[in-house]
Amino acid sequence: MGTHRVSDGQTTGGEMKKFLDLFRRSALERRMQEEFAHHMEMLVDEYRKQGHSPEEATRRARREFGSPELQKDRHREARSFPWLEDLFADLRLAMRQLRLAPGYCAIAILTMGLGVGANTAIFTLVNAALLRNAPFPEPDRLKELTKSMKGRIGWPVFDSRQFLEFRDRATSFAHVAAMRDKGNINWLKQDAAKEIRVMRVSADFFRALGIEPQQGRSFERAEEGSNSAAVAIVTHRFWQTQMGERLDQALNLGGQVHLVVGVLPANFPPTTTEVYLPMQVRSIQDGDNIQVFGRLKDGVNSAQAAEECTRLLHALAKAEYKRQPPPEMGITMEPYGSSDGRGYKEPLVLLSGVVGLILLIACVNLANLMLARATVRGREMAIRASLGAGRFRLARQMVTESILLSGLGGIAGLGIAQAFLTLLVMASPVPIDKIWTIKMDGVVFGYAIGIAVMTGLIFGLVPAWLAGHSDPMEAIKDGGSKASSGKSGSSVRRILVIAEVALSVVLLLSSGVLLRGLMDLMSIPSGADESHVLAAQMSLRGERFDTSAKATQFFDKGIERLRLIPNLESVAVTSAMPLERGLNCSVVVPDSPDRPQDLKFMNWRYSSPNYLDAMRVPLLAGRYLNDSDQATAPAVAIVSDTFAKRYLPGKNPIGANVIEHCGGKISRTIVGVVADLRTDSLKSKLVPTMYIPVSQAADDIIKAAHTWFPMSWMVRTRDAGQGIAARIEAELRALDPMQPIQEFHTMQSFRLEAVRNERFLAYLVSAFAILALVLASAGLYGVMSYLVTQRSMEFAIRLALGAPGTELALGVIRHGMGLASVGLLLGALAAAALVRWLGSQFPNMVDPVLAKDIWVYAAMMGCLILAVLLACLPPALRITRIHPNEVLRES
Amino acid sequence: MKTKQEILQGTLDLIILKTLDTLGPQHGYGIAQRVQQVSDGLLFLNQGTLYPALIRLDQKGWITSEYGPSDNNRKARYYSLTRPGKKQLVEELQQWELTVSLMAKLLEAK
Repeated sequence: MGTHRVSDGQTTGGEMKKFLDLFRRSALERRMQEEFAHHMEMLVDEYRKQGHSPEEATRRARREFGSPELQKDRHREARSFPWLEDLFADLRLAMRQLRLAPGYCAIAILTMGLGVGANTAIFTLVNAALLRNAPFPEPDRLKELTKSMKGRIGWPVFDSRQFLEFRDRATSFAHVAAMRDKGNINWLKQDAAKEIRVMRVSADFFRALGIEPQQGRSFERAEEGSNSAAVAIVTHRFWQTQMGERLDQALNLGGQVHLVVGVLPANFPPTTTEVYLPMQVRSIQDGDNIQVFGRLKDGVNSAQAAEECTRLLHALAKAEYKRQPPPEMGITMEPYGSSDGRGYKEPLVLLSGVVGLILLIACVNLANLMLARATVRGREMAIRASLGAGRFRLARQMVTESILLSGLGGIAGLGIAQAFLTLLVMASPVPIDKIWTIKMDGVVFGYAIGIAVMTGLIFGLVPAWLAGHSDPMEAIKDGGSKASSGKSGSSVRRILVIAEVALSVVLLLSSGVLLRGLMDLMSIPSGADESHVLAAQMSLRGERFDTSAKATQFFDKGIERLRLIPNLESVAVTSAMPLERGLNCSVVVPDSPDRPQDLKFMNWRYSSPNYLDAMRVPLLAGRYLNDSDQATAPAVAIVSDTFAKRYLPGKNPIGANVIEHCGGKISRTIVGVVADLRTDSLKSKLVPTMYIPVSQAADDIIKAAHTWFPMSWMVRTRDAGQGIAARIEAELRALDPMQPIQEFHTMQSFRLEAVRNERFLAYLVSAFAILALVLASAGLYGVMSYLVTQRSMEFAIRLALGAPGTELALGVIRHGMGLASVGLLLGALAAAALVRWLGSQFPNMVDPVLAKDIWVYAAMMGCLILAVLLACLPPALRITRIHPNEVLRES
Repeated sequence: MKTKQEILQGTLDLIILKTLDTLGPQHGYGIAQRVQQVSDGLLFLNQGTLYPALIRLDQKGWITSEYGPSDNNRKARYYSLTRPGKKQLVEELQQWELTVSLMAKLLEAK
């Protein structure tokens, strides 16, 4: 006998029909109504036929038929997937409930939107900068060579000699390539000049990346030979938009004609660079200017490559350099492109942490909100529970509600993130949208939805759990005031508030430390006398000022005119002011005790003879430049203290001979030594610098300087110098109307320029800290409000018994302050550890010395206490306004 | 005999299919009345049992339904057996007879 089958027949066809029926719900509902109505009518008719009165007939029919609602439910359950139906029902109910409480809804969505939005925005940046992969073949085989010391990563720059060593001797790589000199250059076409961005690269650059030019060819080794290699490779976009898709052109870049020999494919990752020029590779120890990367050979891993390169580095140093790199210095392999993210990794990590904390605070606020709401609806929940709604069903409904809220909050968050990103890109001192492609792609969306949903789940569970533990009868009796609270509710709220305060404290202290670091940076002296100094920047690109003679003539006339302006103490001209970058060049110091024939690194500036004097840079030996140092006179130079100490230690620098290698070899005599001036990187090492009278500069270097940098007309006024800028502009325009002044700068603005990244970071973190404080205060206010309401009965009684209202109010404030203090303590402890981490990640900016930081901490604590007071005040004041009679009557 | 709600779902399907086979197209009330009659009042299909079963059978494609006028000209929904439904009815009848004989043998055995 075969197996007995009880037919339950779940065929696929049946499932499909069930599923489709989901969508025909209203039609089916209607049909059901009609059938039931018909059935009822027939039943009533039947009973009437039996002789019952209409009412009796109806009554019997109804009894026989059963409760229509119950029938409908059973009907529904049979019809389709019951859980899905329940979900829809829950959602509909949730939407209706939320519409009934728009205030709560708005605050919840806003809070979540802020939390999710901030996080999503920062994550977008992190994704763009650190996580996404470059679209090269096997991008994980591309490694940047980076110097590292004791595990800390340094800048990935080398000098030419080192690059050649890696390229020719390192066996770990299939290709080694280099790049340098990313900057602007003037492209002259048909009498109009346009600034474009170029970068110099070694011959194997594109080969190493694995990219073949779409048209034409890549660079060849031979083109690395001389600086006048007159070829160029352009990006696809450049070729399309600027060259009209024709290849038969030569580009006049900075006065030099380059033949375009190749066009890059369209999918080459966009950077700011539009045209690539060949790099001059010489076997010299020039400054650390070159970035080196390589493609690992098959079968070689990063560790092996790093070890080989470290060995090569030290071997080279031993053989060729007098100065040995410290033995702990090694080479590590970093992913290609990470140096673009270098210097951004730490700020991004910090910002990620900051917005993470903000999300936590927002979550705490949400939890409080939902708890409050659960309280309000406690009575409703209790009634529903007593009517037979299962605990699980109730809990599920609350979770659905919070998921719906978090969905809406997530959408709001995406909008806020977009707005925030736009703001960030606008305000950022660094053109981050050019360096990375910043867009909210699938990964970012997933992230945003993920945290929104997770938040909703977690913070729907808290009140749901509490609701599940309430006793329905008690809730109904108390009129719902204690339904989801009682002891457990209050203490949960208190803990949440403490957590919020602690998190805010952490953020506040961190931002305080950053701000103080910023202030420290800003107060680093430049080395010159900065009072009443104004600089007018002018770009002298082009043929009209490409020789020393032309420039000198122009400057002389200009200075003459400017001297006519009353109230000026001094006037001068320089290619670079203090706190600005000069030109990086090489120099040979034959009198140097250390490798006298080798090229050494130096920073070069030209100026009018009286410049150093005008800037009141202390003269340490010899003399300043003066008017007798003309083109026809012996070539002289002034060097900085670091120059003298590093290259002529133990010798008298005055009278020493130096050979300037700056686009031409010029032998000069040192006539003076001045104190060091800081360049545009305030906290980094001092740089050996040389100052040359402009009349004695080589033409090539003048042309290069004017191509890359604007020069400055500098004036020092006797007093505040009102209206000086206008006068200067007028005079110089009269001198040469075709040369506009680009910008006016004070020393302060140079300094602000120099710290613009640190400034941005510090202000950004501070803005977040303020946001956190506002959110936390709002949370604290909410909780104190609730506590007061909960104890209103008690307060009413005490007031009726004669207790002064102010005393009760003070008690509440004390309670709030008590909570805040616990939070403050916890937060301070956490912050102490965090501050130390900040010091390690941002050594340029943060120097966590407790003594210096104390007053920062005090100031931040003061802010917090003030905010807490403000948050506690309104609820406390409410107490004083309680009318005992009303409250007692209400119960 | 157990009555009312405690009928196996499978046998309910069989009853409805058989009723429709006998009566031809019929509406829900008619089916319930017929079953009540034939079972001499012992089997009373509560509407909560009948209608879900009708929907279920409809979804499985064994019966189909359409509107039609009932007595006193009210609009009612008439269910009728489909071809696959007829096949299913035959199968189920066979199964039922097997079950009955199996139970008889088992219960008689000492």
